[in-house]
This record gives sequence, C-alpha cells and structure tokens, in this order.
Amino acid sequence: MKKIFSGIIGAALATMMFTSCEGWINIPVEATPPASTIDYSDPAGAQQVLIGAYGQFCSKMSEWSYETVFGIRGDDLDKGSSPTDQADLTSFNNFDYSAAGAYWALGGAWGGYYGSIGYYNEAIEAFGRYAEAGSDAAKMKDYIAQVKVLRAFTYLRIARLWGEIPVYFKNSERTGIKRLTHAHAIEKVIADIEPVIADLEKVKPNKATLPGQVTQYTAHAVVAKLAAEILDYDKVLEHTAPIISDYGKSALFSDYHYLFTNKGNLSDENILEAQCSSRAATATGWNGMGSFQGPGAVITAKVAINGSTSMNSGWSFFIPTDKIVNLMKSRGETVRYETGILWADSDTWYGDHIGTNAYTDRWNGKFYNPSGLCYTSDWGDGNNVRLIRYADILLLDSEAKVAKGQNGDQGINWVRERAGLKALSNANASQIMEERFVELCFEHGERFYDLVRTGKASSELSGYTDAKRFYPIPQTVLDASGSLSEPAE
Amino acid sequence: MKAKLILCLCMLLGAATAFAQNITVTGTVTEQASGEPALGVSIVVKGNASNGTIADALGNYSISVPSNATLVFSAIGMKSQEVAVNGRTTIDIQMVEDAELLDEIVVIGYGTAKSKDLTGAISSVKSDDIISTPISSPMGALQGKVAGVQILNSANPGATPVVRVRGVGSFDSSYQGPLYVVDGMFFDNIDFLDSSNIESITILKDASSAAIYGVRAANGVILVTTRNGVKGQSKVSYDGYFGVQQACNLMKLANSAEYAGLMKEFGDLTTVNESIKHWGGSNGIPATDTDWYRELLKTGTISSNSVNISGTADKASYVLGISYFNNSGISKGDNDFSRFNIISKGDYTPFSWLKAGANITVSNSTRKNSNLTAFREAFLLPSFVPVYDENNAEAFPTKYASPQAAGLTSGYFANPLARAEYNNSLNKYLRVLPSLYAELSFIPEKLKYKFSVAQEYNLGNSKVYTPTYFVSGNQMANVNSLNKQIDYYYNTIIDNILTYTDRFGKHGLTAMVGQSARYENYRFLQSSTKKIAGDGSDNYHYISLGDKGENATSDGGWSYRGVSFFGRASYDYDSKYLASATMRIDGSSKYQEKWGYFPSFGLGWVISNEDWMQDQKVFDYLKLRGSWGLLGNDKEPASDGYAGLGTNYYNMNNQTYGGIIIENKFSWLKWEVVREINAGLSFTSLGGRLTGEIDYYNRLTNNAVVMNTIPVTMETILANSGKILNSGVEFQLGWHDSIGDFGYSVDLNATTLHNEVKSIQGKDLDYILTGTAEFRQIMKVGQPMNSFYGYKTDGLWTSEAEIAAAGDFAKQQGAQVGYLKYVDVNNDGNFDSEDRTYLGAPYPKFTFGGNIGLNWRNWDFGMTFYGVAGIQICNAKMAMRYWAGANMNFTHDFAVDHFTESNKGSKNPSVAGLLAAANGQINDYFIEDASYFQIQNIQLGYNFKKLWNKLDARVYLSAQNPFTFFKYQGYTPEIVDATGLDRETYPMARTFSIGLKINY
Repeated sequence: MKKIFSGIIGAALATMMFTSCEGWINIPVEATPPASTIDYSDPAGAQQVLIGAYGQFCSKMSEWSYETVFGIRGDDLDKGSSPTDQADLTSFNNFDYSAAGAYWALGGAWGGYYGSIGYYNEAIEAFGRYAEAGSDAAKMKDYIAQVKVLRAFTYLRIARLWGEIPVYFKNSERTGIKRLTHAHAIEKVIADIEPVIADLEKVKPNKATLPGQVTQYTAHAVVAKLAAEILDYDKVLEHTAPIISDYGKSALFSDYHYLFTNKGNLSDENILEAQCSSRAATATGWNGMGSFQGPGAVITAKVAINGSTSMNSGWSFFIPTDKIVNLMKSRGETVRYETGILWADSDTWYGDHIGTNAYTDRWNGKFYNPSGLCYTSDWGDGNNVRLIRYADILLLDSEAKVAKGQNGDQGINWVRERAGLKALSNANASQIMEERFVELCFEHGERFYDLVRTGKASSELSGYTDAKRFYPIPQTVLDASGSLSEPAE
Repeated sequence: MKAKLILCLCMLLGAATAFAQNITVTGTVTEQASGEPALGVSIVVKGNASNGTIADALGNYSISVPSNATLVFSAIGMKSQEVAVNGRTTIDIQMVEDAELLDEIVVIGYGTAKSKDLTGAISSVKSDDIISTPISSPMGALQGKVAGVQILNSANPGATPVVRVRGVGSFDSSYQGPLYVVDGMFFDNIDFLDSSNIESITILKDASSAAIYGVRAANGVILVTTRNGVKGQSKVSYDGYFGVQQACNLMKLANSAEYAGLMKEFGDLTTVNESIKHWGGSNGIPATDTDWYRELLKTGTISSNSVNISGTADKASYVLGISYFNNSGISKGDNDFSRFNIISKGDYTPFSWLKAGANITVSNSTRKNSNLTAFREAFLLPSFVPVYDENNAEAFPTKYASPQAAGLTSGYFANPLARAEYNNSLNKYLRVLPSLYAELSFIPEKLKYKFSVAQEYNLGNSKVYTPTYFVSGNQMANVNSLNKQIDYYYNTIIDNILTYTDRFGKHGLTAMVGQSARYENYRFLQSSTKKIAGDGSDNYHYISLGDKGENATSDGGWSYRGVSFFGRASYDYDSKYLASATMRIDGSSKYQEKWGYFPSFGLGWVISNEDWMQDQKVFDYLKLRGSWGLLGNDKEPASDGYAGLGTNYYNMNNQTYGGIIIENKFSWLKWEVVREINAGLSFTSLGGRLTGEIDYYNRLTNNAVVMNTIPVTMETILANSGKILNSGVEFQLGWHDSIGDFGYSVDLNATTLHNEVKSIQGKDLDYILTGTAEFRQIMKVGQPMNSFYGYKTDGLWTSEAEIAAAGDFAKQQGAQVGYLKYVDVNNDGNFDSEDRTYLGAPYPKFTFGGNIGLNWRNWDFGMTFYGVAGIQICNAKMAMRYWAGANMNFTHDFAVDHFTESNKGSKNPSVAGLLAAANGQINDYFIEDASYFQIQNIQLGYNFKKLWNKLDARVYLSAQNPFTFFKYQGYTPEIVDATGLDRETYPMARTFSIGLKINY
C-alpha cells in the first residue's frame, strides 16, 4: 500500500519540479535559424547570400502583375482578355488614374520592389561582414557591386512607375524618409553604382563565374539607362562606349526569331537577364510571366510535348496595337513582325497553330517558346526574362550621339541589319525613336518610357499629359508612411 | 465502499447502546413516473452521514438505523426526500424527477461542481441530444442548441465545423476557435470522436468558468467527457442510423433559351452560335441544355453504427466501445469520409483511498476530398455545353466536352464533371489517445490529489494525385503528378491537482490547486514528383516511381512547451451567497514575454434562498451572478524573437544554387488576453416547469495579434497592437410540462452579438485591408471585423436624362441606362476610390435556435430549428463575372427579371449593366443578406420498453435540414469560409434517416 502511495507521489513531485523550471520552456524556435548564427568566416556562405539576392530579383522581375502596370501604358500594347478582366489596366492605358491609388497590382509592385530593396541592403551589409572576417576582399567587393546593380535596376523600375520616390541604401535610413524628386533619385542611384563598376568581372554575363551574373557590362548598361531617364547624354555615351567597343556587332543574336525563345537564354545579347525559367525541377515558381500574355485560344503544337499536341492557353493580356502592326507593315518588317505579333487562327513562324479568341485576334509573341523547345506545355516554358538587350544599348548610343550632334549611324544600322532592313545614313532623332519602337516593342514598356523621357508622349499618346507620367503613390502606402506625403526634396 | 459500510456499522454497534434501539429498515425505491426501480439511490440517516447505503439494481435497500431516525433518499436528477422512520421496518419510496436539477453535477475545469453553486455561464449538452444527428463531427450536432455558440456546418463529408463562442476574438481565422479538452488533452477540434463516445459536452463561456484554462481559453472552452461506466450497472448498447442525403435548395440557373435571349439583348451571340454549330439547335436556341449542378450531384449516404459495453466488476468499472461512421457525399467523383473508433476505459479502485484509471481511444479516418472548384465551374458554365462530346478528338480518358469548342476560351470555363472526376485527393488520420490517472484520497470526501497524463499521437497521411488527362487547352495535364505528405503530431499533458472540499456549518469551501506541463510537437515531411511510371492506379502512387529530376522535398515542424500553475477557490454561505476566484499563471515557449497571468472572480447570489423570498410563488429558484476575468490565447503563431534566415534558390544556366535571405524584421509577440465581464440571471419558475438564463457578456481582446504594416516597404509583421470587442446578450428559456400521458417541452435560445474592432496599429494606422483585391474587406476601427468594403449603389440609371443631369459624376462611373447607380459617399462630386464604404459584415448580429419536444406514451417527437439574422456575405461567385466576362451563365431569376426598356423597375441591372457592375469594383449588389431560418431536424421515435428482460429499444425516423428559408442567391447561406466569401461552396444537403437504439 505505502509503496504505491509513495511511488505515485514521488513520480508526480518529480515531474512537477522538472517541468517547473523556467528553463523547460526556454527552447529555441524550430526551422528558422537566427541571422546571428551565420558564420561570417565561411566564404561559401557569401555566395549563398549572393544567390539569395538573385532569387529575390528573379521573383520580382517575373511577377506578372508588376509587369502589367509597368508595360501597359505605351501605344504598342492594349489590354486583352475580356473587357472586365483587370479593366483598370485599360483605364491606365488611357491615362485615367482615378482607380490607381487603390489598384492592387500597384500596391503590390510598390511593396514587392521596396521589399526586395530591403533584402539587397541586408545582403550588402553581410558582404561587408564577410570581408571583415577574412573572406577574399576582391570577391566581396564584386558581390557588393553585383547586388548594388540589381538594386539600381529595381530603383529604375520604381522611378519609372512613381517618379518622386524615397531612395535608401541602408534599412536604418528608412524611418521617416522623405521622397526625392525624380532627377535627384536617379542621380543618387547612379552615384551609388558608378564607383563600383570596376569591381565587377569584365566579361559578358554568360561567360562569368556564375553564368548570367551581373558583370561590368551590365552595370554600364544600367547606368546608361538611368542616365537616359534624365537625358544626361554625356553619361549615356560614357557608359555605352565600353560595352560597344567590347561587344562589337557579333554580340547581336543572329536569328531574331529565336532570340526570344529558350535558344536565346544566356545569349551574348542579353546584358541583364532574370533566369526564372521553369526548366529545372526546382523552378522559382509560377509568377505568371508566360501565362498572362499567352493566347487565350486553342494552341496546337507542331511538335508533341510529353505526348500531347496541345499547349496550355494563356490569359491574353498583352495585345499589339493597330499602330505598331501598321507601322511594321509599312516599314516592310519581316522577322520583327513575325516574332512580335502572333495572329489568331494562323500558324506561328515556327509552325504551332493558334486558334481563335472571342475578344482578341493577336498576341505579343516575345515570350513565345516553340513547341520543339518546350519541356512542359506552359506558354513560354523555359524562357528567361530578358531585361536589357544589347540592341537597346546600341540604339541608346545612336540616340545620345545624335543628341550631341554626332553621327549615330553605327548602332541603329547594326540593329537594322540584324532585322533584315537596309542601312540608314545620317539617321535623325525621330528615325532612331521609330527604330526603338519596332525593335523594343512589347518589352517591359520601353516604348512608353522612351516617349515620356524624350517629351514625345503628348503628341503620340492620346489622353497623355505631363501630370500622367507617373502613377500616384498607392493610398495604403501613404496611409502607413506619413513621411512620404511630404514634398519631395 | 463495502469496507466503509462495515466499518460504519461496527462503529454504530458500539454506539448503539447509548442511543435508541436500532432497527433494520428495508424497502424498494422506484421512480414515480415509470414504476421502474430507481437507480443509484442513496439512503442516508439525516444527521449521521456515515450511516448510509445504496439501493441495488432492483431498487431494494436495507439499512440499520435508530427507530426515531429520519432517512434521506437522494439520487441524481431526483428530488431528495426525507422520511421519518417512526419504527417502521418497511419503507417504500417513489422518487420524483427533480426538474430543478439543482443538484446536478456539472463538469468544470479540473473538477466537478453542483450546478447550483456556479457563478459562471456554463451550458451542458448530453449525449442523447446529439447522438441521433447524422453528421460526422459531434460539434456539428450542437448547432442551435446553446446560446452564445454559433456553429457553421457544411455537407462536405468530414468537414470540420466552424465554432464561435461569443463572437470572434482574434483577427486571423487560424487563431480563432475554442479550446477542446477531452479527458485532459487539448484539441483544436473533436472531429475524431464519435457521438456515441461522448457522455456530455460542457461549454464554459465566461471568464470565471473558463479562466482556469487560461492559456487557450480566450475563445471559450469546450469540455468533452467521454462515456463512463455507471456504478452498479452493466450495460450494452447499440446506436445506429442510416440515412440518404440529397442536395436541397438548389438555385435555378438560366436554361439555354433564357441564356440565348439574354445574350441577344447584350448583342453577342458568338458562343450561342458556336454551340448550335457543334451540338445542334434551331431558331437561335441551342439544343443542348445541361443543368450542371444536377449533373454534378448524386444521392449520398450517411451511416453510423456503434456498440458500447460498460459495467462494473468488484472494484473496477470499464467501458468498451467500437463505432464506425461513413458518409459518402452528394458530389460526383470520389467524395467520402469514413471513421472507425475504438475506445476502452477502465477505472479501478483497489483501496478506498486510491482510484486509478486508464483510457485509450483509437480513431482511424479516411477522407476523399472533393474538388470544390467543380462547384464554382458548374455555376459559371452556361447550359449550352454538353457533358460529353464524342467529337472532342483529343480528350482522354473520358470524352468530356470542351467549353473552348463553344468559344468559351477563358480559363474560368471548364468542364465540372471532368474536374470532379480527375481529382484524387486523400487524407488519412490515425489518432491514438492514451491517458491514465491516479486519484488519492488523503482525507476521504475532503482532500484528494489527482495525477494524470494524457497523450496524443496523430499520424496523418495525405496524397494528391493528378492523372494525365485532356479536356481542353485550359483543362489538361500531360504529365501526371503526385504530392505526398506525412504529418506527425505528438502531444503530452501532465496534470497534478489537489482538491479540498469541506463544509463548516453554513460555510462551504472547495479549493483546488494544480500544476500542469504541456509538450506539443508537429513534424511534417512532404515530397512531390511528376511523370510516374505505370498506369496511374493507386498501387503505383509512389514518389520513387517518378522522374528523379522532378522530385522536390521539403519538411518542417515546431515544438512548444508550456507550464502552468493554477488554483481555484469556491465559497458558499448557506448556499445563498456564492463566490469563486481562479488564478492561472501560464508560461509558454512560444513568446518572448513568456508568462501570462489569468485571474478571474465570480459572485453569485441565490435570491430564492433568502428568507424574504420564501413566501413568493413566482420563482422556485432565482440566482444572480456576475464574473470578471482574463483569458489567454496562445494559438497565435510563435514570436520570431529575432531576425531569421530564409532560404531560396536561383537557377543559373539550368543549375540550381541555394541562396540565403537575411531578414531585417521580426515579430516580438506576447499573449493575446481577453478581458471578459459576464452578468447573468438563472431562474426556475412555475413549479419547475419554466427554466431560464439571461446573460450579458462583454469581451475585449487586448494585445490582439494583427499584421502591422511597416512604412515604405509595406511589409507586414505580426504585433500585439490590436483590440477587438465582442458583446451581447444570451437568452435561454425552457418549458417542460405534461398533461397526463402527454408531455411537451419547448426550449429556446437566442444570442445577440456586437463585434467591433477597437484598435489596429494604435495611433499609427486605424485600418488594415484584408480579403483580396477584387473582394476587398477591411478591419477598421469602429466597424466589425472583415467588413466588406466597396461602393454603395442606389438603384439603377433608368434614363439618359438622369445620366445627363448627373454630369461628371455619372461619366466617372461610365454610367449607361440600365447600369447600377453608385452613390457619392463622401459628397465631393467625384466618383473615385474615396467613395468606398462599409457594406456589411459576415458575423450574425442575432442567432436563435430552439427545440420543441412532444412525448405521449411510447412515442416521442422532436423538432429543432435554427436561424441567424443581421449577417451579410459576399456573393463572390456572382462577382466572378469580373474575370469570366459576359459569357458566364446567369441565374433564372435574373433572366426573367432584369432591366430592359419594358421593365424599368427591376432591381437587377441590364445584361450590359451586370457586366459593368462586376467591373472590379466590389459593390453592395454583390454583398447579400445571408439571414436564414432552418427547420434543422424533425424526428419521430417509438420506444420499446422491456422487450426482453432489461432490453429497451428506440426506433426513429429523422429528417435533417428538411426546410431552409433564405433570400441569399446561393446554394447555402451557411458559408464555412472564415471571411464570408462564397466562391466555392459545397451545396446544402437534406438527409432522411432511420435509426435504432438498443439498450440492455
């Protein structure tokens, strides 16, 4: 009797005492290591932090909803699908921004881009700590420069969307930060990366240590584009020159058709590329870059994919306008016309057949991957997102030279030659603008940004006024961040 | 017990010489109502509690008492009787039911108490009330039976009901839900239990009752007591029912003729003509007329069989139970739920001072999930597409028709039958719940100590397999894929409880002190692959058979520990003045601020026991009570506490590299604490025939966890900055009476709820947008949670003149004749996003339920009903037109009554107007009143008494959900979505069943 009694009491008291210690409830959280556990003396970790930054970059640059608000406003694209599907985009295309303050994709783009900036800032700080702990100093400088360029490109996007934006390179500066004017913001970003260009590898991105990473040419290209935004042509030329002198004419991908397919991945022409293809099993995930612009019709594959001759339909969001179609026709465009515009109820240049759609009769072809190169039947399967092409740099170079009163024929003629057109002599600014239109149409809204920065938007775009250059800052952002309502400095 | 008896008798013998002569009194105790022997009757000498006995199974007793003694006869549920012996040697007694049930013992946290001594708001439901309801989860059967408890059920087999006790006290739906305590173990739902395993369910609604479970009591505590053996009885019982289920209240959708008429008005007959071209038709009306919902639904069955054996043997009592439940759903395609439970309990009292017991419950369930997308697609797809189409050359394995063939090229149009068939999703759970306890009596009847250990092992297996199939370019998979996951939960709770009960003259005191330790773990391992070899049948669903290059694996888990110290003191003076206080101190490994303190106080005044109340005839019993307390909610996610590391990857030239992301923000969380005030009145009147309770409750959740927005980046991080208020009144009334052989009872309960957000981010931000971009909801200070946020409308634009007169305001909304007329809410003359406002909320302001019971001789009849009012939900499936466009199907009601030149008074816009209305601007046309009234259950039963020996049986017929009345344009107004969005909802079902209960 007594034994059972005392046995039970003993067990109970023991458990009580054991579990009452505060130490018993002080256990670490599972599955999330603290940032403080990083071993900064291990150089392999630095590459992981670099990859982390690229992963962020990829997910933001392949997000379809950001792409729609970014690319819809030019006269090269209309919104397709049914009239009510994301109808706000049509309003933006017509420069009616009344719903823009509350539009979800704009709020999402703001949060997405600035969120990634936060991660780039942390990564750059981390490289500093790796360097202090003894990692190869030159390599750390290279990593820092790479992430700075990714950050700068993100700021370019933000500046193009909202104009007067806050720019910060350290997360601690974020509290109470005020906006900068468009020009000041661009200048601050340029000043951030110009000094570190020399730290990068001096090879084409596809030949770098990590294929497709940011190299000196990428940095030059990003500065050139930033400078073009504020019409600083001297700086544009300063940075297009080193690229052109090393790339020459051969860097242009010879077959325009295949430039925008898997074959064009990591080509010499791609100066900045987000490698978000779905090819690997551990694909970065579906951000919809292909699906949202794919034809909403029955697509019959010429070459069977996994035994099926059907390709997945898309949502038909980006539709070439009559203006670009007619312009291409009148110029006698061949390969650019076939690649850029895919017609309903007809075969593509490759031989896949696209059916009909109730609302639209044509689609943007610059994300199309022919069935013979496809791994799965998603539209654009395996395509990377081409962010800056060499053709863009050549044309910027021509534009800058002409603006400075020099001869800009070299760039524009190389581009024309690749597209199967005759050379021009003494090309003028409007010819170069038109060349940019047909070469870069449908690509991340370049057309719209070309028009606004050169002051041609009011004449070319109906409904446009200078007040409409930038979207309004999302209402939710203003409500949560009081300091952004103050005047820009 | 026997030992004690002998001991007492010996003592009495010794003392007998000093008192009057002892005599032996015998007799039989029966129940007055039935004439049957009364069970469990205790007979005690008044003033000498140690001299007592218990009547046996036939009601016979024998006791040796002084000849001038008074005997007290008492039993649970019966009125106590005092009878003077007066020298008689045979005294037969008839026990009468105690309608007041004042001596009823109620299970409260870590103990039991008499109902009359409670200061808190507690409701109890017995097994009999729920056992014949055909539903998989026992909690679902409680709908409408308890004031203050709102339950949302779905006819989806195996669905977990949404349970809300006194409103919604946390922002995120994953932190909501009450705490379930089953035999000492904490659960988030009791789906694994069978109704036949349950003896009673007690709901602790207010602080003074629930605070003893401080750590997770903020949303109410539901104590489930599993069946115990009854002393002195052996019992075998069988409960079973079999029912047939059919969808009911199906909405009528437009048929092909109506659809063609509407599209003609709209001016786009492309798809109608395509259908005629492919599948025939004439005069512009397609011949195909598919009623998609009817095609998708079938008759389901529901059945339950359980056998329970309980008994006593010498010093032990045991319960053994086995039950099998099966529900095959009303949707085509694999859709069913089956559950097999075994329960075994044993209690052993080897010595008078020691009682020990062990239980084990094993529950094995399998659920084949239906694909709810099929229901959404059945709503969207017009009727002019047939189910099958032999001409759909590429379709395999079954020749389903492709909506694309009729020009419906958007991804929103898919063949619902194909969606339901090509769906293979399976969840299996094996739960084993062992527990054991030991109870030591240090001082008999006064001081006892209980030690208990409860564990849960839950092994879950789930699998989703997609076969290769083709219906159209939008509905195809040319590689198969498999996703498997193994979940493992392992929890342990150890309790140490010391209880002291005593009476000193008129003072009664029960004190309890306890300590508890909790250990909770969860692990999962998930793997997926594609291109599995084989013909796709179940035998080949293995990851190892897939393409190695397509394998992806991930895992995760968490582990939490908690320790608590708690105590309770209940005091009563002469059963007139009651006071109770509890205190619980909880520590949890989840938060930075680890310790939470949860006190509560309750006071009660039994007015009817006052001397000056003895003369009045109105109230037999009247108690006034009130309580205040703090309750905690540890269901919020664990605090980060530090900036963490995340991982991602990036492919460079098709080679995958692993990346690390360094977080620059982290959450620092502490307990969410609810401060609850309750004031109530309980009464019994008119000879015990009328009982009632009224309670006022006021619950304020402080430190509610809500997403805070970080300026500039708009990233969100959880923080304890929110405050939510839930308040209201509960009524419960019951009337029981009989006229001769005819007995009847009416029970009613009603609850009001006022839910309001009091704070989001303090002074920094007073709102947070939730929901999705298309169906915006908002948590804003001063409004209910998850309020719908959109544009207000005021009828239609009925003429060009009206539009012209409104000028810019009309132009800004793209007004045309027949369109919805939006309201300029902020009166600034402009129509823009500033005109969005509060349109309603998905929490009912008023719920009520009731039961009418009749019995006559061996027949019994019951009808329960339930209703809600003051609730709105978003008819998101109608608003799908925003994506699906003009071609989406219409409802029959719209087809016959919408705006046209000849029908200007319609409340529905024109066809073009309906399209524009869904134009991305959520407005009150799509926010509908979801009030409803439902006759929940009608049951008719016949009791067979004493068919053979002790054998009783009851046969019954029951109809579940026979009639439901609602205006909402949907398949059911009971949306199980936590935020009130009806997009893919399983239809409501009506069940007719026949059941049998046998007791021996």
